[in-house]
Amino acid sequence: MTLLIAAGLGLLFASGTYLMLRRDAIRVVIGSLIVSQTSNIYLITMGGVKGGVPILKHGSTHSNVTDPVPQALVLTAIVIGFATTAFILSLTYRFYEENKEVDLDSLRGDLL
Amino acid sequence: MNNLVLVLITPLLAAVISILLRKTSFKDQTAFTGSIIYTLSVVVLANQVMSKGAVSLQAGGWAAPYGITLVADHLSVLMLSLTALVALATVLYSWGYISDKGKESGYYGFLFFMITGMSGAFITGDLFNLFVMFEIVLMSSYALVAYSGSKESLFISLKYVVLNLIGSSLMLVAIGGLYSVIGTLNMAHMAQILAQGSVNMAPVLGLAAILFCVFAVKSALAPFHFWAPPVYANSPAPASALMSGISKKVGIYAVIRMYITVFSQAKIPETAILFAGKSVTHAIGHLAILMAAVTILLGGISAINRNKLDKMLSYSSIGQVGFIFVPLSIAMISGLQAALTASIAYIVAHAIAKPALFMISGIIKKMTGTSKLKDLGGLKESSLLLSSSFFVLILSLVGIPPLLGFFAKLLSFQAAFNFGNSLVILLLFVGSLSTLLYASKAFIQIFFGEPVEFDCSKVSRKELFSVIILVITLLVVGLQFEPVYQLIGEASKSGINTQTYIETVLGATK
Repeated sequence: MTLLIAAGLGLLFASGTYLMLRRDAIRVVIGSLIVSQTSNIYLITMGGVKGGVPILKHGSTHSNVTDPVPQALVLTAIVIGFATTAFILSLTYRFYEENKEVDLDSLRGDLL
Repeated sequence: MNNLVLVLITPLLAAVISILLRKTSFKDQTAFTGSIIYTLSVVVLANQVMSKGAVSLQAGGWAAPYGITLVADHLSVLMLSLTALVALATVLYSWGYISDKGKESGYYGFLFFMITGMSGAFITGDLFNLFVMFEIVLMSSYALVAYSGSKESLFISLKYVVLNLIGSSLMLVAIGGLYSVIGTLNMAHMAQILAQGSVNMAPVLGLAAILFCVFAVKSALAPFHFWAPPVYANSPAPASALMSGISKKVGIYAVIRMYITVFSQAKIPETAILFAGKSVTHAIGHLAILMAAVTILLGGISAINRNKLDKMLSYSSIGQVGFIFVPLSIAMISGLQAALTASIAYIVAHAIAKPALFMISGIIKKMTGTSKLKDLGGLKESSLLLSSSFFVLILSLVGIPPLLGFFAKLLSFQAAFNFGNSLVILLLFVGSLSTLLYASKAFIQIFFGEPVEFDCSKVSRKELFSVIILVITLLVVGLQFEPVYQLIGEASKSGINTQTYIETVLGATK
């Protein structure tokens, strides 16, 4: 299971990176969103994927319970990611409106 | 009520109120009042920490290490005071500088959200909370970069967001990994567990390196510096003042807190091939000093042949971060407290001087309509205050006594001599030389020579006054360096003394 998740995460990071290296702004944006979502999935697995629900009664033992802290963290990260996604998409749209194309190579030169 | 909450709540309230009142005729007064109240709350907190020592607050009453802890020690308070000073000057400057149309789209709100994020980052005691605070700062800076709405600024903002999305993802990876290895995210608790030595150090070292790269992106350390010049040159002048002055320092503060305070406790086992028996911080310090060296040379040399004032200042700001990082990485490698003191002195000098320089660059652009150095000249005719302020600021940047920049350079050279590496001394020397070159080039180009057309009436007194606030602070701090030196020493002591930090957060009994 761990190996499968690790391979899946690797694949997702790789495809995100591949998309980010494109010239098309939309692909770059989608690539960076994939990378940020992948790190969220990675964060969940850091609590250990054990299958048990972390609801404990008094006196019950802690065995086979997934750590709830990473899930709380990931909720925060998802909310932040959501806001950033909304912002970056509207930014891309504004960029398209001003530039009339989304090819990132169309704008270079005096920027640096 | 604990004063720690005040420094978070006041800018947050100011942000919300100034967004609500953005279309009224007293929006500027509201924002300015907000920044004054924020400054007062920082003064109250600073006063408390100075007289009674570091304070901590367990948010929501959840005892550390389970809840989120807010901590203010001398280091945090020093950074907060710098934030308050620059924030006050920036808001006053924006009052005159930003157009009414700009303010109506919620400019002050972004500014205050950024200040909230920065204050939060300086007082948080929790690594994940630090990530959240970083995001708050970034979110507002994205908006400020795209502010003018031109094609270029949208493009640059887009690149900036993508870059920081990668940075944030990496930070999450590092945080998740550290949580899984160490089992806590509370910085003091992390230090405590790492000191016990029961943790597997190999992943800690790798994750600490990833985290360092993230902080290097935030503080624009080479090779992660490339975003800074276009971002600073395209944001409105007060926003770049705040970003280069304080939000860069958030990354540097995070390095001090995480590496000098926390990871210095993590000892690499004796069986390791490299850095056996040394701390993780020591190992990362070697990386840091290389990056700092590249940063100084790259920033300094690129600044010399820039043709625009704001671009030159951006590269200069990159080079100055290198100057901050050289003594900092010496402190990381050797654990010398004097080196950390030098680095903090540099932070103070740069955090006061660079915002003022960006503000002057904004004034010049407004007066003449250009920031190209070859189209400028003879501006000493315009205002004696402006030219003398610029002169004082670049003198501090170059390091002429009795200004603060001189003491910072002196302490850095001292630290480098104690470190005993002649290459580092040579590096600092070459770096200072390049600073002298570009600073004098800019000064002569702008203020002497054939006078160009300029219109002083476009610049209000408020803009000039906010520059003067910063310049006077710089002069006073330089002339009265003794008490400031004490304060900086206290700050570096609280940065380097992990045990006190742990006791502040977790209580003395543990």
